[in-house]
Amino acid sequence: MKRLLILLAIIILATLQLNWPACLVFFHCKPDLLLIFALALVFYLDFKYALLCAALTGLVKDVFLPATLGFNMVLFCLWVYLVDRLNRQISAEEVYVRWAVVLLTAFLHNLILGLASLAGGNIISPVIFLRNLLIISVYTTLISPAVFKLAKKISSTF
Amino acid sequence: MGLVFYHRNMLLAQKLQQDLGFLRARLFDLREINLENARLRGLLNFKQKSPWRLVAARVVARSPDSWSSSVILDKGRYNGIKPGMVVISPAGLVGTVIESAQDSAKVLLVNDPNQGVSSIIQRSRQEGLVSGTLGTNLIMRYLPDDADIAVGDLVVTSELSQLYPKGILVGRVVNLGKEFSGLNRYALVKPAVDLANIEEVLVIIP
Repeated sequence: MKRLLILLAIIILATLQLNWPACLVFFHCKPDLLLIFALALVFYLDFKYALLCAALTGLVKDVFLPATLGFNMVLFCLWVYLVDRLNRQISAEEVYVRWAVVLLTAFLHNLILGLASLAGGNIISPVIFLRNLLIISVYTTLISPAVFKLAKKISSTF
Repeated sequence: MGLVFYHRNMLLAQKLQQDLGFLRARLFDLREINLENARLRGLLNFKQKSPWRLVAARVVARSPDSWSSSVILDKGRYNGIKPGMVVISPAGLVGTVIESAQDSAKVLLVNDPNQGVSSIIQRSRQEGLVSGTLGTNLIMRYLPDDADIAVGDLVVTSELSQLYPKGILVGRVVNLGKEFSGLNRYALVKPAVDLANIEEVLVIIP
């Protein structure tokens, strides 16, 4: 049942991300709900299961992107692995610590995506690069408590 | 006696409030349907006058991140949509199909940095390459220093392009500049289509 709920949550978050309301799009940026969900599961599920969910979440995101398939899947798994390592070193129970983890991960994720796009020969102006890097990271962090709540609810069910 | 009337009037007022809410919702729905009707009528008119074979499709999803610009259409291989096909709207060029499944297709919009459209300035026939910037405007590059180009010029697809039919409106020049190397100029082009709010499109079937 928990698996089904996680699958359902991934589908709902993916649908929401694909059809994010235009009135909530700031400077052409929207939050990465799937990334938050993948990270949130690290705190509530055991590592192997969270890693599997991260791979699935990344794959779902990749399917709808024009870029190379598997890029987000690999990155999501990497973030989950690193956050799990960090979670063992420090206490990430505090809300602010979790916010910082999401902010840092979103920043690194977007930095890698942006640099990969530039490495692919695309021309992105520094302003747009910084806009995407900073606004998406902050927006993702601000939305994260709601997704964390959802992940906690799912993990505590059954 | 007054109490009886008060109670009756209160119930009536509650019922009227409910009816008002219901009618407001109906009015909102009808307005939405009216707008959709106008858009679809425009598409149909364009389709009937157009020299190309077109398939109308609805946008059902947008790119999940902000590093690319793409949309998902509700029609795919079943309706003859294949990768490489050009997507337009009555206002101008939208993008190209990059993937197609049985009932859906992924379209790379013209404002994606991976997109490149061989285009010309309609007035002076000056050629250049239009690509996306992820921003509001497109960039037309590889323009020679002495290119005859001015703000307000229309940019259309060139006949040199194997992919795009000639003469589809891409946008309008809004700004000019010199590239970092100093050898070429570039032009910022405002897309003819409002790509952020596109809802219905037409796919050209060759």
